[in-house]
Amino acid sequence: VRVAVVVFPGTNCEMDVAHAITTLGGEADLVWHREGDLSGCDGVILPGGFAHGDYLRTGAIARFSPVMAEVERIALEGRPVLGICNGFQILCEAGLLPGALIANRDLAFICRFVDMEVTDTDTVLTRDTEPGQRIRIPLNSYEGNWVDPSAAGRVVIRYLDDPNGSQQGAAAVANDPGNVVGIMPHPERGIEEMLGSSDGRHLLEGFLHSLVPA
Amino acid sequence: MSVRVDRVIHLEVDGDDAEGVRARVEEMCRQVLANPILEDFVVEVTE
Repeated sequence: VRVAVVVFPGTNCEMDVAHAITTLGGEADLVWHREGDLSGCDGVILPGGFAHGDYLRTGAIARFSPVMAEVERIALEGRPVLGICNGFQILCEAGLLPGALIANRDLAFICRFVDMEVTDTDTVLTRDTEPGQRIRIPLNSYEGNWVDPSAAGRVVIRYLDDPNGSQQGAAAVANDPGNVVGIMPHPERGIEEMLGSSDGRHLLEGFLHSLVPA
Repeated sequence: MSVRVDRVIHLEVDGDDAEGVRARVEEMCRQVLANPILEDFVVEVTE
């Protein structure tokens, strides 16, 4: 299966994501944000970083990149789309996920492992996990505090210790059909025990299993 | 005590009538300058 890993100016986790995908048996295509055709890919990942410098607001400019029309089309077709960290922020700005991400409650960048539990297994990211399954992977963000005034968002993974004030403790959120998911911590940084955790495998393997070859 | 920091964006926009300019800038606010989920905005037209 082929995953498009979108690279905006300022994205900095694309190689980590591509490494994780290939390690887990998928193929990763790095796709520049000006690309307008993702028809050769079975799913899309928007990796972390600082797309377009995060000027104005995180993700506010990235949502206008040409590739986003294609990401929206894929999302609306029901195919898997995953946003990690900055990618989560972009999906919210693009209106493909509910809510928005604002500065952490304590106004400090958080860079540490966080403990979470799966609360909803009916998504492309959590399909291979069990309800209540514990996940420990790194969180690396300043704007990781998810707010959703509509209260309509599906929280699929929540923090156990509320690191950033996120509504309902949300670490990962899905759209209604569950094919678009945003996660603030980094599963691609947790696929090898040598680096402190392999829990991210449960999530990214599930994402790969959700892909149907085009 | 609470502290609030707002964003002020100064735009120079060509146009003859203030209401037309206001409408354009309000549309910019809705589309990109503000995130309506979180933010309110107020447009002031001067000159």
